[in-house]
Amino acid sequence: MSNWPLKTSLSVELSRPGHCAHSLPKLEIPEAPPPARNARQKIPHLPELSELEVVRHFTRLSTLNFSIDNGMYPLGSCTMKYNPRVNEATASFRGFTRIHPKTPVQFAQGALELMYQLENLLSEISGFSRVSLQPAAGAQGEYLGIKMIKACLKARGENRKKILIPESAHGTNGASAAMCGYEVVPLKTTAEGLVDFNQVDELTRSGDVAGIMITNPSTLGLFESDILKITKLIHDRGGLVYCDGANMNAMLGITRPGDAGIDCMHFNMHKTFTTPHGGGGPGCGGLGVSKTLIPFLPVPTVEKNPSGADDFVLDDKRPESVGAIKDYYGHFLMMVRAYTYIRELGAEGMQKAGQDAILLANYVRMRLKDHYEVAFDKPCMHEVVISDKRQQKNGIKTLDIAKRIIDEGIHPPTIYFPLIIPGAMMIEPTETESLRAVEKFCQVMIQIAEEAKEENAYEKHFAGRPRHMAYAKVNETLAARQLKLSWKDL
Amino acid sequence: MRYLPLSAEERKEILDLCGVDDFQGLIQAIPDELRLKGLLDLPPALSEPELMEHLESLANKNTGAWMQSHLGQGVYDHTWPSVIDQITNRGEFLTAYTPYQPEVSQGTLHAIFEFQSVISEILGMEIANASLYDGATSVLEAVLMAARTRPQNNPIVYVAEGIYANTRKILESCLADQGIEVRTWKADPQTLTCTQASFQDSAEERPVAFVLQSPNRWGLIEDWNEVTALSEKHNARSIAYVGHALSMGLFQSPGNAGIDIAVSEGQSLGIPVGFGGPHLGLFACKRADIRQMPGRLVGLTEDARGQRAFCVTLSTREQHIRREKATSNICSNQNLMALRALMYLTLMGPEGLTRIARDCRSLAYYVRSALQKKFVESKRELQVLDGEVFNEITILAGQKESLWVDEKIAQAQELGILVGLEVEIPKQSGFVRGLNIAFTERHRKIHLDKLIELLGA
Repeated sequence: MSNWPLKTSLSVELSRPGHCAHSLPKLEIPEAPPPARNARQKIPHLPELSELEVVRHFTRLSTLNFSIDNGMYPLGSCTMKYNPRVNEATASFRGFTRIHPKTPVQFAQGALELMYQLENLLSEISGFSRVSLQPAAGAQGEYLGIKMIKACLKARGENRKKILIPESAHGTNGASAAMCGYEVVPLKTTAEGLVDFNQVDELTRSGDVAGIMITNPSTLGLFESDILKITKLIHDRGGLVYCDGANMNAMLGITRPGDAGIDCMHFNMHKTFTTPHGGGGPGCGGLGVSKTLIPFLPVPTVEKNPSGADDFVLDDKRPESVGAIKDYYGHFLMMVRAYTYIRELGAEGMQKAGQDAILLANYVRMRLKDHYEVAFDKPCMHEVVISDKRQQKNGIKTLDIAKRIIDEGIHPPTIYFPLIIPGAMMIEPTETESLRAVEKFCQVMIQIAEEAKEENAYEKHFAGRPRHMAYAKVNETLAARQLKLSWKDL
Repeated sequence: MRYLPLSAEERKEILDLCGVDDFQGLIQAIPDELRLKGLLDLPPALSEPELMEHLESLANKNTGAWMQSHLGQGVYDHTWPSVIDQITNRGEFLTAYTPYQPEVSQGTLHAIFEFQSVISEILGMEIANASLYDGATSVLEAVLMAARTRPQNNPIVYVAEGIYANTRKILESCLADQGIEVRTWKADPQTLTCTQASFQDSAEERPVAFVLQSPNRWGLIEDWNEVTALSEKHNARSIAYVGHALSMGLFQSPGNAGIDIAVSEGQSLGIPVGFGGPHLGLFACKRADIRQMPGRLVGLTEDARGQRAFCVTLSTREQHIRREKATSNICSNQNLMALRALMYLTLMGPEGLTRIARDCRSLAYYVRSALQKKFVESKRELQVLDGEVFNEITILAGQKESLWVDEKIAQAQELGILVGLEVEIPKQSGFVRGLNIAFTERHRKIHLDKLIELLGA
């Protein structure tokens, strides 16, 4: 992280006519005549820079980012674990990067084999019968899962209208259900932080509920202990069960969602299987499905050659398929990274990853419970939710705490989510942090809790945070008011 | 294990702190019958040297990656300056998350702002977002956005016949969920482009949008003015799908023709073909429609010290705030890919963009002219489609030559060439078979001449 007091320019401001940084081969053939019609009138206004100028510009920008490589990044439900560099190395092999998606399968056997094997590995880890790797990201996995549920019910001659979603769910759940044309019915959370079984019971009696979208472990970091009862009830009433797999990290080698009667669940490869977060994507969001949903898988699927030959084929003749939802097969180069990671960990590593994630989250819970209100004071899974309830009494809010943490070289937790816990801070340390790093984080949190008790705490410790970073608090209201969205607007 | 630093002693220390005897004590919430009693059945763990060897052997089985390739249809094996790989692999870009805390995410936010700027420049549009999954998703989201601005009971969208077959399938599959019917805007069978005249439906029910793709799936350049005029006539929204982003170096931008929503596949801007992903969806529109726009937007602002700064803005459209009422369920952008595209356009500059567009078109022209001559001489029922092209040409094989496409694909494979992709071509008499061939700056004259010899024989 940079704290250089330097102005960061836009690339166009650095631009000088005639500078260039491209290197293209000489054309060995006659140049074609210019387009007779529809020619571009005005050359786009792009910067003109030398390669070194471009390198300095982007290197400068990179130093303004906090990242996992800079320090602990305990964003809850985001699983900011270390992104192994060997993944980047394998994903850059020419055989993977330069293979066109429409290459005849006999010349792309390595890609098909990798996808086939990855599907098997994910099925074993999650307990699902099959996995589609097509979704581009978790949200598209949700959409695909609900679309398949809809197709399944349609095949049964049913046209149910509603999907149940807990209030604590990620916002994408409702948005994905709405994209499939469903009405969202919110579910309350019990005093224990769980889905209210009785409410599910009541709501499903009418027979118009297509299913439930449940997050397990929940965004409160708790395992839904009634999961078996809930899946059975939903199935008995003719619905299906979707699970948001954002928190799969807590289940690695410990329990399998497929065994709990869940019909489908998306994976977030960038969370659980260490593909890079990249500042917000690209993701990779495979979808595990139960036997019930196999006929509705999107096309194409990767299969062993039915002729018995020792190779792989693409199957796009699946009569009940929901069709394609994404170009080609999904984010293949992200699959290479996830596959690399899973092959490196093996079964023991996978279990240790899951267990250590839970151990470290509970460590944070125990260390902080005397200083912050813990939303649910009982063993948590891979993340723990605390709040600013005690600090509020002295006028210190979660946002103040978050901006204060930044000055200690640690990224703040997820804040104000889940929505049902006022002033929530959702902390997920992940298993790749050392105990020492997690303890350092706890000490910072405890110190901040102490500061928040002092008289004039806000002025003394919280006003104007962050104070030691290249940027102080950013004015988000101004951005929304002026809506300057490109350099044309300057 | 190198990624899992907790030692047995530390694990014990944590269990003691939690007041439980063993790990099982922490997971009492999981019903016993759901707890795995043994290890998962996974293949043995591999060390880094073994991993590299294993993955390399899989990669090497993709022999197509070493062949002379003319496969296109929306995905093109262009080159990029290596500096893009070096810079985007910096941990600060690679391992940051969504810029939720703007004070420590200015690198990502600044880059997105520049990305929005370069994309709105090349598409000639007022505003662009921080990107969507890919071109097909962008078209889908554009239609959904158009439908939000033109609420109808039984919405219909007209999609040009020249749209990629994959994109068409995705539109049909996904728009059905929202009750939007996809109909075809037929192409003129002579020119294989879509015009106002080639639109023959009466369109009594008012369509929500018309979608036109250029270059289209036969590699031909369409006229955006046709879609704006037709949309205006039917009070629908005009959607331009730029089939190849680099074509913007030579051809009219959608914004220049007054298009409402312009989308594109940005893969050709420094992103590997990568067996289909991750690629990059570009999405731009008019400022007046900003509140209906899907995806992330970054805006300019300042920090408490008065420095220029950036942050995510108008997020009230997005799913984490609006939930089921959001403009889209998408919550990521293709950020690393957007960064690659931004770096690509920054490195190329106006001159590089124009030059690569011109060069790729010249390659296509060279092969087309040579083949046209050969086909005339041979008097066979083979014809290279006429019309304005960018980097793809399409050869039409008449009824008598219906096996020609298969023969040439097979012969080329023998020579280590992936010659192109089969496309169907609508003619008055019905569909005929065609071979679509793409060119990039990877192709030297020697490659082109080999291709001409093969196809002209």
